[in-house]
Amino acid sequence: MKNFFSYVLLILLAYFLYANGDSKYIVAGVALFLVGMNFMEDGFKLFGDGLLEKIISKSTNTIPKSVVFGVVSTALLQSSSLIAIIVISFLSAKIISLAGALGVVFGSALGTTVTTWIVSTLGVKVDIASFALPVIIFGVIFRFYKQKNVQGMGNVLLGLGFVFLGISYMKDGFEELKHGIDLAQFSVDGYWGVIIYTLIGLVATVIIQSSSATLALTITALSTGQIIYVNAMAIAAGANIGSATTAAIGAMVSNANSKRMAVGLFIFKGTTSVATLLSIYFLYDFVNYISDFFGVAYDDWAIKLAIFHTLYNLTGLIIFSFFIPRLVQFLKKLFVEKKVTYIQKPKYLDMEVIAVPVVALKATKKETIHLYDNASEVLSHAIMLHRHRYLGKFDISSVVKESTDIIELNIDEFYQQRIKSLYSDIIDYSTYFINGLDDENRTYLYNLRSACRDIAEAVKNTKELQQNVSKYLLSDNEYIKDEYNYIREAIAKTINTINSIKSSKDEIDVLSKSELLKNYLKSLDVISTGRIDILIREKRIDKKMATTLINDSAHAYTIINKLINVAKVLWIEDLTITQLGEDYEAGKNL
Amino acid sequence: MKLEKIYEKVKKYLLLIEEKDIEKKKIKNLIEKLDDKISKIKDKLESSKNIDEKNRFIEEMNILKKFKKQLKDKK
Repeated sequence: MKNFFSYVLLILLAYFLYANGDSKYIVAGVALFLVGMNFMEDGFKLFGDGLLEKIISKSTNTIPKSVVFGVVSTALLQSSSLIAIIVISFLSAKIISLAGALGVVFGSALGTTVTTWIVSTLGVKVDIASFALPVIIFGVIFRFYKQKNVQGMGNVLLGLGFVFLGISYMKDGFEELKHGIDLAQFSVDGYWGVIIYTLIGLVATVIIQSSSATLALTITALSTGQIIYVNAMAIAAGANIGSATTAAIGAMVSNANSKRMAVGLFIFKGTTSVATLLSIYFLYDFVNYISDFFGVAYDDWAIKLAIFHTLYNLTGLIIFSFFIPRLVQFLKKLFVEKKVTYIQKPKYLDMEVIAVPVVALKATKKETIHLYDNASEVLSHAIMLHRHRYLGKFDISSVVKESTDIIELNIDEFYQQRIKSLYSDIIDYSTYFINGLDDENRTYLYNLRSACRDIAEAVKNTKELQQNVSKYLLSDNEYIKDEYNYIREAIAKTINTINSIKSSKDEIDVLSKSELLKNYLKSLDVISTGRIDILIREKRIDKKMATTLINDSAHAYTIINKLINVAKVLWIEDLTITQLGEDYEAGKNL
Repeated sequence: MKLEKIYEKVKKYLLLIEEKDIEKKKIKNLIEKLDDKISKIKDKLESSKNIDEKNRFIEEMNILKKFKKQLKDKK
């Protein structure tokens, strides 16, 4: 149905361009404007190099901070969709709160009015086409540089150039159209006109997928006298509802948090727009009053539209900012997060996030940590320990000796439901954004994939160990019991150390603790330490027990080694420190 | 000639933060951090009376010293 609709639209567009030659400049103008916005968005993704993401996570802990951040960032970056994408991804990854995310996107609505100001001042009053081409030329040159930041700057310039060119085309198109057909004759005054043009603004924004482009089109049409001011006001309000509708439709197939944010945004924009439309004639007079006060010419409709656009977004933002906590409560009741199903679903792998590969990489890392947490649970239960009993404890040896209850666990089932499914999801998800990563991040993604494989193999290795731990835990032979307790202690100590590493922000500390663990691991080997010889020679254990112990100590060694490698990947991101660890390992093997 | 100079200046500006410089600075900072850690462990070692703890501190200190040596060699 969706495809059919798009084909009909394409055919209609082709016929429209064929039948009305003058309109092609306007359509081309919109197309160039959109291309420009895309370039700018891509540019900021490269230019920021994760900086934007870092700032977002630190600027959204209070509602006022997140609102100000939304306004400023959108005004600077000129893209509310880029901000929305990043905010949704952070929300999905649970890095920021719903209240913080709503604050940013509400503020972002006010930030977009800067675009309106640029178009209504620079766009229609200055011959910006003359700036467009030099800006594009420099943009292309910068894109040839190796540095990502310069490339990003190139994309931003290229985008800006195309936006300028698009506006200029739209302006020329309307001038041309004026000679053939006067659209102003279709203007409808009164509330009937408000309804019609609101719908036009809404539909145009849903089709073009950009309220900025709709507004640019409206301002250029307004400045060339092709539509009347009141109708332009209605289009601006309609465009606002249109942009929220697009986001709401997009989020309907996403997770609960994305739905909450999209519906919150729809409520904000919808209510603000409806209130604006109901009081449109009052606002008409009020904008005239403000314009007179600031000395704006009576017929400078473009500036007046910018004032109107800013005024109603600002009023909406001020009023709604006070209701964000209540809105959050309402949205949380409206969309309840699904409880964890039997087969574990990924928590952080949101398909909307793949538009920003660096954030998708962060989501993948979080999901790998989730996978590790599942693995540490199964590993603990396999050695008959509950994590809450030993995590954070100093004397793990005593906890191990005291914990003699058998924990029933089907490792195969657990592996299929909690490990394999997540592991497969992570690998599948990462294929969607790997090509958008730079070399350094791509290497990190490869490491994350290897970490997932290590986690899966560690769990698989636990199966035999589990059987023998439960067998010898209740044995009358104290020697074999001690050996198995030593294995249990080693695994518990590893999980405990990794747990402390998790909260450490010092990556050198993570590396040194990992290496200390590896040194400790040597004591686990019953062959190289000679313990097995003593046990057999002095007939403390029989030969069958001995071979089982040799195998299990090797299993434990592999499990711990893999867990240490996983910890290094997950909690050491700095490539210099990763390299330091690799060099250290290589030095040990010489 | 003038154009060439301007080009060189622009290029210099754009390459202001060259990757090699960042790496060198990073290594220098890491060495300083390691020195700080080693001295802190030394203090702990002197005040500790538990033999197991002492051995662990010595082991950790040796690892950190090796890290430092590696970084110095790299530098």
